[in-house]
Amino acid sequence: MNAFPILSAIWLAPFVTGLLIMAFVPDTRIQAIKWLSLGASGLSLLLTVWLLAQFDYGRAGQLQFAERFSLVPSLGVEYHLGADGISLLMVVLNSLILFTGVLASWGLKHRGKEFFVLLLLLGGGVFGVFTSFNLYVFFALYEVAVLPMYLLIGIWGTGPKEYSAMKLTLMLMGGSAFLLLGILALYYGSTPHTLDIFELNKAAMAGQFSPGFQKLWFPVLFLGFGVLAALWPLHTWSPDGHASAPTAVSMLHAGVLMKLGAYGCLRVAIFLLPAGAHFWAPLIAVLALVNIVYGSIGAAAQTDLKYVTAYSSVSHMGLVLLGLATLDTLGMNGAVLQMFAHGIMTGTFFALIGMTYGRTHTRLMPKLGGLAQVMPFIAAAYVIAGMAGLGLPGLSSFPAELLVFLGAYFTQDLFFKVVAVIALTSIVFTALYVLRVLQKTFYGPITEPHYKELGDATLVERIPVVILITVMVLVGVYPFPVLRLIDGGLIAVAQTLGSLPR
Amino acid sequence: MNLQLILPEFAVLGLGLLVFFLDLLAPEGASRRYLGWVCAAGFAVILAVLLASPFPQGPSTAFGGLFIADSLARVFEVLFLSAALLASLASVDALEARGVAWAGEYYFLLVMVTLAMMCLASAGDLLSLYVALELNSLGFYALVSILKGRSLVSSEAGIKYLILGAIASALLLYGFSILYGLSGTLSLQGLAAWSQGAAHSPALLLALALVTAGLAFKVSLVPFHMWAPDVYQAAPTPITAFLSVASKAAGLALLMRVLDTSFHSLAGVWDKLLMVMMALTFVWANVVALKQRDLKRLMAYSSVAQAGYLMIGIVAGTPLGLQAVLFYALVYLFTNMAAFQVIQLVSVKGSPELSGLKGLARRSPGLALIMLCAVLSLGGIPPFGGFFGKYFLFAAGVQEGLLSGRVWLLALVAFAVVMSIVSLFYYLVIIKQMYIEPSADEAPVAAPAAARIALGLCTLMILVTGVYPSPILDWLKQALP
Repeated sequence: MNAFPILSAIWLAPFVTGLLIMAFVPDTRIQAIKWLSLGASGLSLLLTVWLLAQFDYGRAGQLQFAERFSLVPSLGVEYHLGADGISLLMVVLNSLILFTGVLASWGLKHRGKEFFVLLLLLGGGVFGVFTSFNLYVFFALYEVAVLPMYLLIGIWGTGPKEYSAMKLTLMLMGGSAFLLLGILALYYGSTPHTLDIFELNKAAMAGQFSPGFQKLWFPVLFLGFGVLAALWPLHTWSPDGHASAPTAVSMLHAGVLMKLGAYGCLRVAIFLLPAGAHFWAPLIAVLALVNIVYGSIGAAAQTDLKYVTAYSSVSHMGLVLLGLATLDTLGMNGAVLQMFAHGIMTGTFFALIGMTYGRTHTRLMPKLGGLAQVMPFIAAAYVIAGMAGLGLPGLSSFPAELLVFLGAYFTQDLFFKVVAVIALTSIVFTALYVLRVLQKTFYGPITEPHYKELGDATLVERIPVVILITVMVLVGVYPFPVLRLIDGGLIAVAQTLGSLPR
Repeated sequence: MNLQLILPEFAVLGLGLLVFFLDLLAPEGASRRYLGWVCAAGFAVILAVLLASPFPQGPSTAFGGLFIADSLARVFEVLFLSAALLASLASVDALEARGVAWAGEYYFLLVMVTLAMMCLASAGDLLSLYVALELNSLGFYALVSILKGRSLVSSEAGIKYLILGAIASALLLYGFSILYGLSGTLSLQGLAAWSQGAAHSPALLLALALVTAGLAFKVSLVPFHMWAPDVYQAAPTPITAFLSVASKAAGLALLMRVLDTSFHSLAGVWDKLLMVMMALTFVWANVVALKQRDLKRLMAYSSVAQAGYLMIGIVAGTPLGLQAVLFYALVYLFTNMAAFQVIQLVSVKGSPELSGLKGLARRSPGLALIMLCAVLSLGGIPPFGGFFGKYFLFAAGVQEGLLSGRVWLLALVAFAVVMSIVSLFYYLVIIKQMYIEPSADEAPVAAPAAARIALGLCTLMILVTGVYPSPILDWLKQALP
């Protein structure tokens, strides 16, 4: 075991830096603030790389780098960090998005200090959630990660930003209210009372949670997390929120926070209440199917670039949820890989949209056109990300979507076969909206004369895009190390689900 | 009789007399600003001594059972003294800003009200309880209307508070008299023994209903909350703050002493009444708060809603529930004191409306940040004390509901959790005013030394109770085993 508390360091690096900037750096020293933010997120990224190197891949299903000390023993509250394969992958995703998000905000001028402070607090909180294995700390950090969104969108957003910010915050907090109840029920339902995720899992395997209990509390927990994962019909905060948010916030939100919801669905709802999961899986699958199809049709109908991407996120998150709902190793592997792939892809999209908007000051497709002539780098990157979006082999989304569809199709259940077939139709709509965006925005004649004056991406802007696309291609071409991580992490889930009489 | 038992009360009485004579000796028209510092210092010393001394061993009584000195009373003494300390600090500059002519009387009453509440928490008999309650209420009636001549609404609020308070006292007293008629005893211990075997006669039910209603007035539960918005709005802000935390804590002490201790065996009777009032409180207070434009009225409805959350622990009635109530009362004390302190500073030169907070993050980032912490803590957001406090209360409710099969309590907790999202809306609106809205006035808000000390203390406690509550929990566990 490692003596150095690396997981604490990863989440505290941005979090504490944020607090320090807030306390000690005056807001006139914006350059210093930017460099500090970059340094903190870079430190997390480096530590994550080191974590990847130290991780024992043979034991990806077990908790590694564990740190624990008791906070409130009488209520089972404990600071318990650790990482298994799935956590590790999510930490990698978050450190990539946070680092690139800071870079994508480099040009920010308005109230820069507060922006970077909130961004760092948010990013730090997310790291904490992905590595917490005590439900209290998990839940507390979950809220810490969600709340800065209110100010980030409310202050730096565009369009109906105050409405969007309020809607997003209240819906997500509403979801977390249900989580709180579910967590308390789990605590008092287990003997001895515990909030430790693995202890609770043992309690579930030992049959401490009766089927009635599980059927009652599974939807509470799954829907509570489902709000953040944009499960239909609880997704309505997502298009408004993503469209109003500033670039880096959209990146973090669609790239990482939505994954937090899906991660919670897997790690808490399914892992701790397996019988409930079996009971409710068909309903979840149907809702996820609506997500997939409705999201892609919705995206095809939008004209604002951010709304297109937001609806496409709804659709892609539907694939994640469908994969989870199969309760099958293949499908769940796909779901977790899709969480990662979608995070990288949508982060790229929002970064590129931010750059485009920063130049043209509009995101409406009818007003755009021919931008590839003046900004070839952005256009090329957008094409690559778009191809990932429609699942082109060689890019990271392809293996993920393939596994989800295969997982759903190869379950024993006819029902899931039908769902898989219907879900496949979304590919057509996805192709439609992706190609339409590319054609209207980047190709064709230049619609406005002043677009000819616009420049291509600067060096600072190119770095995040290059990083994200590199990861996208690497995972797309050779996904097996990532799949090994996921598969290892899913062993425990599969054992839990398999332990039940069907 | 052991007079040592009432030493803290004597100390506070001494402080009151000191203030009284200092006021007499000072020439007319001279500044009485230093009296605020005298009060603060006095309260701080008594508080420090109490915190340093161990809990009383077992309940001991004085004056033939009229007075109980036990660890529960000690916890409440600490609560009241902390609130009084913060209120004195807040008053130092607030009184001058509002031009209050009766500073001497103000501080004297402040100390006496604190003394009354300490006696209230220690009352061992319905008689001493009632006397302490009246002493406390009368002091507050005068304090609320101390801006008489400066502000028209001040006298109105005082009268309103007086009349409604008198009605509540009458209800309580009538309930007490029926109880005395039924049981033949006024002592709380005697009532506890008697209620074990008492028949559920209509008279007993009526008496319990009257007592519950009277106490509900004290903690301001819907529908007995009507006085709160007007009184909160019109009173000097330090008094509003003090009233909102200390008076509510006094009400909690009564609920714990009377309902959870003396009538514990009849919990099945009074808890239904309380649960109905809680449900009404969650709906009414949270919904009406959405429409408020005046900051202090908004905080009044917020504090009515908070009283509803506190009742979860009272209704659960378990040791865990009562610990949760005390913990939350403590968190709520520091949180509300911080919020009102900021409101007071902002409204010295600005508007008392919600819009007075506009652009505070640009004008005074520190004050805005403290208000942000306070408001999020009230909304139950981590990592602030309000989060752990609410979690603790809900946990106590779920424990009792799930393990003892009290389904209605469980449903009520679920309802409370959902309604806390509604409350988040108006708390976020406050944050929106401070951080998102621009301000016409760019000048920083002046924060004098006394206010800074108070704010620093409050913020520290909001963070400690949220991040590392263990020491305080251990302390409470000693008090309530």
